[in-house]
Amino acid sequence: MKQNLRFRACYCPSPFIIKHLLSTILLFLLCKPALAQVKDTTQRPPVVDTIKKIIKRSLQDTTFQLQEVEVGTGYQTMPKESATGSFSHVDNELYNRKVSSNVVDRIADLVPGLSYNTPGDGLLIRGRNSIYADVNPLIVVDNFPFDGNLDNINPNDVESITVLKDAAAASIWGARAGNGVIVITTKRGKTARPQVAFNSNYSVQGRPDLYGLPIISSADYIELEKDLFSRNYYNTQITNERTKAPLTPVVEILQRQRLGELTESEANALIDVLKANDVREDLMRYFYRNSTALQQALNVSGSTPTVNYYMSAGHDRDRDELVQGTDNSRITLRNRNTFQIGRKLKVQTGLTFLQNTRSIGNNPGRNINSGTGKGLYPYADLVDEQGNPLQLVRDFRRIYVDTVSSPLDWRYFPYADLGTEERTNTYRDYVVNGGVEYDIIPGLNAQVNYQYGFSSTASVNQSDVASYYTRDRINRFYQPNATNQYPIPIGDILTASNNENVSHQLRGQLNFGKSIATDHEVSALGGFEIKRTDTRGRSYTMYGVKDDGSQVNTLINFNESYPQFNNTASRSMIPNSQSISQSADRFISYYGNVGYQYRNSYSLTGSIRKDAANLFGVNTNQRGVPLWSAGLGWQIHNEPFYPFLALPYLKLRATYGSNGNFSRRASALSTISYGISTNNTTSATISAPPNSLLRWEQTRIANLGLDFATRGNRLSGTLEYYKKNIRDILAEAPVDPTMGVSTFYGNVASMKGEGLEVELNANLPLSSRSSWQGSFLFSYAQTRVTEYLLPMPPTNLVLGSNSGVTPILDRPIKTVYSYAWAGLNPENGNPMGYIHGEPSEDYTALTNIAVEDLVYNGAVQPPYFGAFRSGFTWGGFSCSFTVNYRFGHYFRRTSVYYGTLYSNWTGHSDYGLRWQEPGNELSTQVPSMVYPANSSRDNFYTNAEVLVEKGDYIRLEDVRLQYTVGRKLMGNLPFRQLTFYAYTSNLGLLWAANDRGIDPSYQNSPVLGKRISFGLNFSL
Amino acid sequence: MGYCHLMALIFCLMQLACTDSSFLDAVPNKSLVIPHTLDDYQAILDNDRFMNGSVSSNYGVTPALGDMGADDYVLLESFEDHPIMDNEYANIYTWQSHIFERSGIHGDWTEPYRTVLYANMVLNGIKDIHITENDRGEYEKIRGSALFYRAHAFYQLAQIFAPPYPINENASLLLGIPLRLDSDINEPLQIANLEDTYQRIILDLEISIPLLPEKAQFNTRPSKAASHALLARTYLVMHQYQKAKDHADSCLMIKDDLLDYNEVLQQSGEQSLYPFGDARENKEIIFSSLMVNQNANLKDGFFSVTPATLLNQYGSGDLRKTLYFHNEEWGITYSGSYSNNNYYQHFSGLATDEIYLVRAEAKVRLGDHAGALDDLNSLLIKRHDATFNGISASSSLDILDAILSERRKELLMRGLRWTDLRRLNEEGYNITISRKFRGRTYSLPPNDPRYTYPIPPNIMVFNPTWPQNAR
Repeated sequence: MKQNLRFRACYCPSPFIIKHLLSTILLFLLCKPALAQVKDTTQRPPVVDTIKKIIKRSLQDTTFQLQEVEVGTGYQTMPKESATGSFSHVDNELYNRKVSSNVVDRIADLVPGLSYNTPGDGLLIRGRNSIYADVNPLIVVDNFPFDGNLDNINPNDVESITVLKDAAAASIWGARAGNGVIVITTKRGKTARPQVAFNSNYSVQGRPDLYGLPIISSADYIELEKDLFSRNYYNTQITNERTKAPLTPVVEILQRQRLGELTESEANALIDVLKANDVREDLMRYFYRNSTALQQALNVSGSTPTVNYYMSAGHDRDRDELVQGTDNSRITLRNRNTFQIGRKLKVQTGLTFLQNTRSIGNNPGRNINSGTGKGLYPYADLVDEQGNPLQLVRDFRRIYVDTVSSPLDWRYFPYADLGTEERTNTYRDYVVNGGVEYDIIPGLNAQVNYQYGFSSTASVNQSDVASYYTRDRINRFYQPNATNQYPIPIGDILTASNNENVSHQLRGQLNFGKSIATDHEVSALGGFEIKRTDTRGRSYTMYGVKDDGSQVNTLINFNESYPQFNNTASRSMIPNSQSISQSADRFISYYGNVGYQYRNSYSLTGSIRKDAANLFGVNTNQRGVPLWSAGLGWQIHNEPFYPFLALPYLKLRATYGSNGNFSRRASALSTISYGISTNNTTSATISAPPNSLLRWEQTRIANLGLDFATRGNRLSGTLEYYKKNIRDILAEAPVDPTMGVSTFYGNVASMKGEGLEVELNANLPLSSRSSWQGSFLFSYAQTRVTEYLLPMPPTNLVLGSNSGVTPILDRPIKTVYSYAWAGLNPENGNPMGYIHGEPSEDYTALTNIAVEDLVYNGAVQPPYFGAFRSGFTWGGFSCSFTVNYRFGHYFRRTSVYYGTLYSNWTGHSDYGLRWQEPGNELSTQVPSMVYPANSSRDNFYTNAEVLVEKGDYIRLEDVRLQYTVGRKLMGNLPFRQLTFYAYTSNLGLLWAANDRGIDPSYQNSPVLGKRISFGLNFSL
Repeated sequence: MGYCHLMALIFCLMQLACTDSSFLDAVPNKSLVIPHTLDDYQAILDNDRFMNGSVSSNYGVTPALGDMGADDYVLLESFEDHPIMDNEYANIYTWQSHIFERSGIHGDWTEPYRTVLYANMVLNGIKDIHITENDRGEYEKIRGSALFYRAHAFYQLAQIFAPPYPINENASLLLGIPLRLDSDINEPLQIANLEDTYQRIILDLEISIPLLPEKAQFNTRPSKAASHALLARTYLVMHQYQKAKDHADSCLMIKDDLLDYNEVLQQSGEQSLYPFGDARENKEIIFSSLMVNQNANLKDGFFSVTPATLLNQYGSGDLRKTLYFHNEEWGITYSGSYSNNNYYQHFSGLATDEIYLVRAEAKVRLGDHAGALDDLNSLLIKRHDATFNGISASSSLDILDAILSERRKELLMRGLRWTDLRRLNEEGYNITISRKFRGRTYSLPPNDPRYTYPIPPNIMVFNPTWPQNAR
């Protein structure tokens, strides 16, 4: 690749590294004398410790010792017992059970209320809370919001994760807390002796199962093509010399037969050869591979009374399932230190560096494009017996590309094309942070934290002159009769883009904690936060790039519309990706939090936050109501009258409060973006009509919780019920196009939601060396639209897709609707629906009904979900598995659509099951073939109730085997701990409600192969 | 560091955060600008893609349904079963009462209303600008331009979605189109009556005339000439010939350039696909606009040919027959659009040739036979080779027939034929047009309600109280 052409970051952030290193050295020097002075730092414990101690004392009064769990909100940490809100904590051991290069994968199935891989949305906490604004939770890493890609956190640096689900837990994050918050705490030093820890693993995942896809068979499609040919379907394409419309090999053979170039038997012989082809053989063999992942992580850490340090390095190398596909390499470096200087001052420094290099070749896999907008015909032959690339029809007829005198070869060989384009993407991220914490008087301390972040993404998309893409471009713009014959010069095409993001975050906070008499305990914090983020991007396309990258042709006329060489009646401009973008986020927030405990039995909490942002007009910033929450906790077991000795921990919690949510796409003012008119004057496009009433969304949540634990923590659990009310939901909703725009962004909807979460954990010792751990999670989360100010979306949008958002009153935000189904007409195999209760084949009438007259099947996103995990430990061995389930949702399966079946060169395998003669209707529901296709009939069938399936399933998610070498066996080996493990995931369904063998998680994509990982970790 | 120091530090930081009021005024997305200067508003109007349509971005803004329903093209039989041929095309081609089948946007309705939004944004926005004496000229030009664009969009919509302007009836008893006059997204909309619709078009244009420059720098921008031209066209549609003549006079006084097709032919050669060259340089164009090309394949040169009855009307020596048409394997197709992109986008703007014909027609109807013939011959001399001797007729009926015949030959595929069919039938010309499709013959009798298209259903969904055009 042309190294010298790669886009580089505009300025090097290395000064920050140097500064950080200098300050680290300085602090070491500072802290040395301080260390000499201070003999015992534990004499005057800091505030937080005081609180913890009091709570611990109260717990010690009972005979019960609760597992000590600390939950963090990003502003404070507290013992879980004193919290009133809904916190879910994932500790390090559980977090490390899964093998993945991504943080989120590891908390899947561990937190009630958290759903992942949700159709259309990915990660959600307590269901979807918004229509078009951000729906994913806020991620907080070491106290500051993390706006980047979650793939860019090394999961090996994570100590624990806390998920904040209700208002009391999350409202301290104000306008960004509406979708819940995931607080990630990274590792810190634990032991006085320096500890070195190492983790390495290797994963392999099998190829996706292309044979499981419902694709029409070669024989069926060829027979269909013969039929269509005899009906003169292809005539206009064959005779249209101007477009040279591409034809499949079978149609070409039939045409030659028609012209008398082939006899019938010759033609049939050729076609029979094609019938035996299945393109999936070549795809599986030459275009797909096993995907692999290699992970290595090393860290050094330690903790002394004066210094706590943690340093880590990690490397991940992932290759996806496509030959010459994605190759991802990630390097992470992290350093975090805390220094105690004197008795009162604590200084914290941190530095993180991440580099992610991704290179993607040109392998579309099963989505190889044959023909203009056509699919890959099922009998395509991509590679011959000797492994040589074969030609595939693409944008024009074979006869045209084989004979045309274009400047460059116009033929397309998908297999040869694999290595001719390369997209590289380099992401670098630097984070530097520092903090000072000062104990002013006993019980009161102040802290200031600052974080600087810089990230850059550089993408280069290079298409060699040998690639079909580049050859095609150059040929199309070839002007044989002009002075400039090559408006696109012969050479590589290079598209580059660069994005940079700089952020500053500053926080000042006062913490207060005091016990008054013995019965009262007060803690409070208050502070402010400023955040600014500036992002800018540039992109451009270069043509005529020479092999060595030294030469670029800059004389490209992007403003002229050139007649195309292949069709001089059509004109095009040379594609130009030149663009500049810049955005700025500004936030100022004030927040406060109070906690009060009485006799360790009752706790009261409250929090308040006010945000102002540049995303909203002055009105919203001035009028905005602070977001707040209040909570009440009752530790019943501490009451003198508490009778249940078998249940030494029982706590009731109740909270109420509000969180916010917003969207960067919304603006209170009308905005325009600039461009250039045909006359080369400045022109402006209206991006959004004005909406001065814009404000952020507000989610009000009431949460009730019950925590309990039996003696010895053998059985513990949490039960939670919540209701929420979401107002002022931002939506880009369809609006009467007579307004001049067809969508409109505003606060247009309200939703209500409720849910139930159950978490049960068991830990049963079976013998002195063995034990069984079990965990059961159940979540119910459902939201429905209660108010929608804009007109209801039309029927075709409601039916449009599984993932589309179509707000309908009293329904969840994503729904499956369908046409009522009256079966096939036994006489002609036509699909039938109902009009006024009578079976009908009037498809125009059937498809032009109102949304209210459709059949409502249910939600797209599962309202019930959860998991069961079972683990068995025997000495150093342990074995565990996870089973997860999702219930109560629906999906629309695909089937044959005759219109596109005829025109797209491929289609659905249901074609083979179609009604062909009377009597078939008893065994099939696939309509008969009609010619010409009737789009209303196709639309009716593909959206009919008969194709809607229940999505419920139970899946064996993973199995883990682990062996930790015992001390005796270890002998003289220098390890403190040594563990070997094997982990396998993606093991398939145990049960699915649909009886067609469809895995609801992979509706139209091939089921991915099983994945297995081996690894070890040790510490020194 | 003592307690006081720290508190002071925090206090200072908070001050910093609070006092810097510009902190929160940063524009969230720098590529987005909040319009506030005259330049910004001029830039909005210069968005030729949405205000005029542009060939380079394959975009048009005026309805194409008129030409799709008129008799300037014949669909190829081979196209009847082409994959692109769907129920909606079939409905349009055979003048069904029910037209719209496709989901999604119907550009014939939405594109002109987008132009209206742009014009309204400008008209609303410039009210808040403080105007100095220096800017006054610029301000007036922008205001006049916005009014013209809005009037033009309303005019184009009225030809498709409102009934023909009646000759003997009271137009205020008929339905027109929704007249959107505000940029506020919450503006309640009702369908105005036909008289109000035309009066709004006339009013906007009348106000714009003193504000606009005589000629514009680019033919995508409005001008006095353009306002007069559109008024002339509008009054002709309203059967008000004196006013049509007056405005045609005013227009041609400013701009009367005609292309000499002898020269055009010399330059382009026969069988050129782009005989008229770059539309930006075409001196006949007063105001440039293009028809929507989404969903307008029917009249594409790939799928249709020009009817022989029309082709036969061109006499010998008529250069239009050479320049306007192209011989394809499948027949003779139209390729004479001033848009310079004959196959996809047709010109629907205002040009001097049309205004000559408007004035000629108005003159003959007002009794000025000599003047009418004068105008007609001034145009035709530029359209014929040296063999042309001029048209001479004596009776007003013959002259009118000649003018109307030239109108058809000169202005085909410019969105005008549909309007002419409506107008002439209203006057009693009794023209029935018919078509063959999939073996059946369909016809559209004069003054049929199907001369008014229905409002697309995805618009009606939002406005359940609107009366639909009866067909």
